Amino acid sequence: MAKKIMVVDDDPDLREATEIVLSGAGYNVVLASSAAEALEMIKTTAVDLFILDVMMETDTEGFHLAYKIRDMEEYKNTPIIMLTCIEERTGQVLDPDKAGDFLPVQGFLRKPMDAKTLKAKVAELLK
Amino acid sequence: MTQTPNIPVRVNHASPPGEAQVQASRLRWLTRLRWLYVVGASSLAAAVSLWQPHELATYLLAAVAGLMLAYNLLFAALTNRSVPHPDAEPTTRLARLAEVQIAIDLVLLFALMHITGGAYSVLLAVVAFHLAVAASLQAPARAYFHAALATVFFAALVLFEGWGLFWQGDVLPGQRPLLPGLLGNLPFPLWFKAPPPRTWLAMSQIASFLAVGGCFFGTVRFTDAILERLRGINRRMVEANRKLSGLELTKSRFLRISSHQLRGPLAAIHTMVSAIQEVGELNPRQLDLMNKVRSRSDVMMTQLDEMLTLSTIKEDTGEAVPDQVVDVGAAVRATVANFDQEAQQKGLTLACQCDGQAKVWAWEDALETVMEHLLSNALHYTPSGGTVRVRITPGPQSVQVEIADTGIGIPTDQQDRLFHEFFRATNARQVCGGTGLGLSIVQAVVERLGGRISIASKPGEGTTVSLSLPLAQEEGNRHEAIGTRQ
Repeated sequence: MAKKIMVVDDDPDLREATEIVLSGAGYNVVLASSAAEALEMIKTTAVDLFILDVMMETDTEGFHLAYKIRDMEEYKNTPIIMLTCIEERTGQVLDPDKAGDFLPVQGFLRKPMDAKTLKAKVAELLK
Repeated sequence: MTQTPNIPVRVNHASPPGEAQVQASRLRWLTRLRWLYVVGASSLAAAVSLWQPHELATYLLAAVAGLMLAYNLLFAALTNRSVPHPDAEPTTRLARLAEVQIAIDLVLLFALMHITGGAYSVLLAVVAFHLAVAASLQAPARAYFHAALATVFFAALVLFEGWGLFWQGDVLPGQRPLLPGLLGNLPFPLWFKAPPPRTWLAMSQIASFLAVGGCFFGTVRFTDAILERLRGINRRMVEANRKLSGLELTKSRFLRISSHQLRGPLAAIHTMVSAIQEVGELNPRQLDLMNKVRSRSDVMMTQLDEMLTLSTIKEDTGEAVPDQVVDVGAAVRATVANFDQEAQQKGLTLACQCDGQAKVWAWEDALETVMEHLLSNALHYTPSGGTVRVRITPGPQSVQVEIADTGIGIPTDQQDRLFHEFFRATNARQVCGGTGLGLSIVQAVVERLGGRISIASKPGEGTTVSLSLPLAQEEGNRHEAIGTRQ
C-alpha cells in the first residue's frame, strides 16, 4: 500500500508542485494550508510522513506544528521534514545540521527544493 | 550557487565621543599647550642667565617656569583622572577646572610680561592667543569673563608700573626690556628714569586700557563667531549624515523586504519547473525550454539571495560581535580545496600557501563566504593555463590574506567602483554573468569583522585582492576591532 504523505504549506503553488512530484513517485499525498487544518485532518487520516513549511501564517508556525505532532502518541516516531527559508525574514540561516539537535524532526530542505532532492529525502525516511 | 553566509543581522557600532569626553579632550589639549609656555619661560630664564645676566630677572623667570610646570602637572593629573562615560553630559567640575587653569595662566603671563619688559611687551599677543584658546574651550560667557580678567590685569600692571608701584627698575637695572615692546619707539615715554607727568600718564593709560581691552574682547568675540559658524556647519553635516544613514537603512530594508517578497513566488516557480521536468512527459524541445526556465530562475534566485544578504548585513538593528575564534589557515585551505576540481577542469593552477597560524574573531562561515566569492571571481576571470595563488601571512596584530590571479584584470578607470553594488567591469561582463554584488558582500563582511580589503589590478595581467583581519588576541580585542571600524 502506498505511503501517505501530508504536505503543509501556505503557498498553494508549492503544495501543488510538491504533490505532483510525490504522486509521480507513487505516494499518496494529502494537503493542508495551515497548522490548524493539518491538525484537524490528522484526526481522521493516518499519515506516514509530514512535510512542513516553517514559515506560514507566523514565522515559526511550522516548528510549533512539529512539536504538536510529536506530542501525539500515534505520531511520536513519524518522520517530519521541514521546508526552510527562514533567512529571508530574519537574516539568520537555519543550519539543518545543527537545527536537528533541538527540533524533533528528521530532515530539513531549503527552499526552493528540487524534485530529485525531495524524492530522495522522502525515500530515505520512509525506508 | 554561492552559499548564503550565516551572518547575524545585528552589528556592533562604536559610539561617537560624548560631549563630556570632548570637554576632557580639550582640557588635555590645554595642558599640552601649557608645556610650550613652560619651555618658553624656561628658555627665557636660561637665555637671561647666559646672555644678559640679571640675577633677579633670572630667578623670577625660573620661578614662573617652575610654577607653570608644577600646576600643569597637577592639572594634567586631575584631567586624566576624570575619564567621563561616553554618554555623560559635560560636567561642572571639568568646566571649573578649565576656568581655574585659564585664570592662573593669565596671572603668570602678566607676571612674565612685567619681568621681561613691562605691560606693553610682545607677550600681549600671547595673552590674546590664550584668550582665543579660552573661547574655544568654554561657553562665551566664561570666555568674556576671562577677557575682562585679562583687561583688569593689564590695567593693574600699567597702573602699578606707570605710577611707580612695580617699578621696572627693580627688575631690570638698565631699564632695557628683555623682550621688545609692542609699541616700539612711539613717543610714549614707556621707560622712564623718573615717573612721567601725571596728567599725560593718566591719559595714555586710559587710551591703552581701551585699546588693549578692546583687543581682548574682540579676540574672544571673533573666535567665538568663527567657532559658532564651524559648529553650525558641523551640525548641518551631522544632520545630513543622519538623513543619509536613514536613507541607506530604508534602502536596505526595502531591498530585504522586496527580495523576500520576490523569493517566495520564485521558489514556487523553481519547484514547479522541477516537478514538470521530473514527471512531465516532455519532448526534447520542451525539456530544453524547461531547463532554460530553471536556469534563469536559478540566476534570479542567486541575485535575490545576494541582495538579501547584502541588505541584511547593512541593516543596523542592534549589537552583535563575532563569537567564534576561527583558524584562518584552516578555513581558507578548506575553501580552496572545494575549488580544486573546478580549477582542474579549467586548466588552472590553484595554490595555497600559509606562512603561519593565525586566529581571528569571526562568525561561522563568514571567512568561507568571503573566500568563496573571491576564489570564484579569480577562477572565472583567469583564462586556461593561468594561476590563482592564495597566501596567508600572519603579522603581529593582523593577518593578511592575498588572492592573486593572472587573469584578465580590471580596467584602470573602473577600479574605484569595484565595491559599488551591482557594478561589473566591462571586460568581466564579456566573460560570464554575475550579480555585481559579490564584492559588496565581501567588503561588508570583512568590515564587520574589523578588517580591510583592497584590490590591485593591471588589465591583461591579473588582479590581487588583499584582506587584512585583526588577530584574536584577547576577549576585549573583538569588541575594539569591530568598533574601530565604524
